[in-house]
Amino acid sequence: MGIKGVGLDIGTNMLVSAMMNEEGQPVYKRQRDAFFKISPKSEVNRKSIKMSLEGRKANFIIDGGDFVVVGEDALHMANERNLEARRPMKRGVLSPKEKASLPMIKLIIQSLIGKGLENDKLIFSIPAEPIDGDFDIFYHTEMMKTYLREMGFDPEPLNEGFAIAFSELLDDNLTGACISWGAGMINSVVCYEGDPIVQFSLTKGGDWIDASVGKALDLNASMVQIEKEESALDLLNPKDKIQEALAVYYNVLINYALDNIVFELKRSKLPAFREPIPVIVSGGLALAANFVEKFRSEAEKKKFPFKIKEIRRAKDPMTAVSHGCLMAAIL
Amino acid sequence: MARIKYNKERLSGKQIGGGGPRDRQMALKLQQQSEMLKQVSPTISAQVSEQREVDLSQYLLLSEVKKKLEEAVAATAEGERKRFESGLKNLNEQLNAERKKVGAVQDQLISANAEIARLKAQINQFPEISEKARQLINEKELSIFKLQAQLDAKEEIYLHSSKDLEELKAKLDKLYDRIADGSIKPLVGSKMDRPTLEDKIFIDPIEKDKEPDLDSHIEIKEDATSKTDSGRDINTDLAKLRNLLKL
Repeated sequence: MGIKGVGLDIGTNMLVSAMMNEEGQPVYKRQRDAFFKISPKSEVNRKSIKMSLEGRKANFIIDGGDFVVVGEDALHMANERNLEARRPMKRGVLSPKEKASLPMIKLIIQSLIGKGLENDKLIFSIPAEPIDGDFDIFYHTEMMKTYLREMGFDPEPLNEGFAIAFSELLDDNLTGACISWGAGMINSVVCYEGDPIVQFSLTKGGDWIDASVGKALDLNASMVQIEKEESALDLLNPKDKIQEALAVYYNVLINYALDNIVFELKRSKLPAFREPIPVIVSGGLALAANFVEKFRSEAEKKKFPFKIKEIRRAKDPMTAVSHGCLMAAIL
Repeated sequence: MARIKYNKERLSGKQIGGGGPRDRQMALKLQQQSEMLKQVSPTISAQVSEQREVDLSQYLLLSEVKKKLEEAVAATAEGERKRFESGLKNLNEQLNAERKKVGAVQDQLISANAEIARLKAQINQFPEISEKARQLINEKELSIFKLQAQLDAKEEIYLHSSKDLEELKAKLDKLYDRIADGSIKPLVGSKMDRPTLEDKIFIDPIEKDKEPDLDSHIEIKEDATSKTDSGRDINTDLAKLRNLLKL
């Protein structure tokens, strides 16, 4: 590792780490936050499962006699068996109810960031308080701090939306709105000259779309998720029934988010912005083709309490948060 | 084919131009063509004589055409002249009206000048009144000056108060924020020194000695797409961020 400092995006669907290499360039690693447990029925079966997992170069953990497949392969293997992969995080936070998954999450994080030396600074992302739900961010933050300390780091939490601002608003005087469209939730922050004035989250995201489409078409949510991520979804030109349903629910979610964001901003004490401000969209959902165009057309129908200069996608929606965290760690 | 007579005397052993079989053949052809033309000529003459003569009665004479043209030119010129004269008349009328107006204004000006002269004469007749008026004007100017000074003082007080108000507002905002983030607890229904319930306690659900023995087979590689596609220069970005955060 080159310059010390680690950025870690702890997302509901994806864990992304960012650190500097020897050449002084940022290096990103990611792992899907999903597990799939396989319990062998006999010793022969155990050996064949292990060979099969090694053959497909899957990441897995051996837990006693069981195999826990981790990441992308967990999702695919669950889908092959028409089952759901296990997701230890829900709506952006770890839950005490997912006690059994915690050691595995620790292992995945460690495989992403390694062991810290001399209390290396590590900034990890946390969601903002939700405005349409009630869950404990404190528990999530403290648990992550404890585990990261055990790994030899000096951990500090950073709001997910503000991390995007560090990554994307450097040419805008750190003034603008950042909206992170994740799997578990939507995080929003409005910054004014480097100050996060308003920050909040909504407890709906990509998982809600998957579940809703699955319910509407009587499909497995894991399968919808794979379809959503791997079928080159174009929100303005859906190609089949599943893509049509996905486009409909994307539209519903975008409108729900916009209505809540406008509502929350209007009741907040916003400063009088001298100039129109940019709006940045990031996160996994923003990867869909024509997402920005769809968001822009819906945003034009809403009355924001400030003038929008432009709506643009983060340079890399999947690494924007970890990049912002890395910047904060190095500062 | 007609037999060609070759009766020309041979004067010498040299070949004579124009008397050979081909020349004779050519002469014969010319004779035949000449005869054909003689036969056709009366037919063509008859056809030419059959052509109808042109009836000139339906056309005008050149002198008449010239006359008609001259009449048309004269009529057009007359029309244009009338139109121009009508416009000119109209313009003259407008000019006269304007002249009248100018005359009236000049009359008004003369009478106004006369009035001014009369008033000046009146003022000169009563020098005391003009002196009083001057004094009055001076007094009024003085009071205006005093009022201006008072206004400036009030404005200063107002600006000062606005600044105080802004400061108070900022303090109030900070206070609201601190209440909102929980650093200041509301005093209603409680006392400053009253013990509070510290319910924000984290207990690690994994017991230290009872962590499962997990054998990890996880190998995560660098995300090559993000590294190459993002196009970031982190050192420039860090310099910008330090500058913006004034670090």
